[in-house]
Amino acid sequence: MSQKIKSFYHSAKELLPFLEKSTNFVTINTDQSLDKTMEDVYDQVEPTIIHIRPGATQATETLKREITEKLSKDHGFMDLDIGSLIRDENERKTQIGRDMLKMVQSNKVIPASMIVRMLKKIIYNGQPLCNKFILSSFPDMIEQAKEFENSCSRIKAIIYSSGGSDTIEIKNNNLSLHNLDSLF
Amino acid sequence: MFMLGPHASGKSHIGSKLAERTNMNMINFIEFVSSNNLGDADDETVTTALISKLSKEVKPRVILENFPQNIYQAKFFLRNCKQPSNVFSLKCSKEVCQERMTILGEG
Repeated sequence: MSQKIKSFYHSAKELLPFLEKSTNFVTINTDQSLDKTMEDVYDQVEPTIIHIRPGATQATETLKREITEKLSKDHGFMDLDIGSLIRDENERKTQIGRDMLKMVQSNKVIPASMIVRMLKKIIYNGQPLCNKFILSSFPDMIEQAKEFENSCSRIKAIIYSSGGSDTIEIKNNNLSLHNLDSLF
Repeated sequence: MFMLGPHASGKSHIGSKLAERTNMNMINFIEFVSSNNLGDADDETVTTALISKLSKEVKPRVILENFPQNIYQAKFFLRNCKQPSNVFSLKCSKEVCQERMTILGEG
């Protein structure tokens, strides 16, 4: 066996049991595929993100607002309103704020990658203290959902109005790589 | 965040993907020791130097690869710095590690 591998196992005898007792310790099996390994790692670090779809009627829109308020006030979720966040970045003249302003000034749509870059900064800089978020105005299109899940975090659940009725349903999300509205 | 595991278990690859996704910086402790000529220094000295570097980091969250190397460094770090948010111990069979090292030309 390689000397480097031997050396790790020698020091690990004492070190790993100590860390297991005194820290937030998790063992990840890396014999499996890289995709599965990364999923196991992301499970440990990704925040809880709930996407609330726009309401189909006035009543569901009201319900959506009530749910957002309840999640924020009673359960500590932070509502990430994209419009306000972009305005905020712009006012603070951050790099991403300036990049977005350039896009708007040249009459271009702000690309999903730029919005996700902004969200990533906000979502992960407060970790692990703030780890529950609501996305209410983003993603709106499948490309945006893909970009968000591929580059930032998986969406744990989607709350949406069901059909023509004035009710809201919750779906565990394992299928956001499809057109979002077509699911409902 | 600490990232530990035997050689060729995937620390660098997994760490860099995680750092990119979560807006974190990554520091390889072995490279840090070598680039600061701390190869002969004791555990307390190298850990103090690392803590000092962390205090100057612009990004508040950092992945430390290959740290701690032993229980003394771990204890000293926990006493004098923040508790890590996560400690990942990468578990990889000796055969797979050896195979990866051969592929990398390190066998």
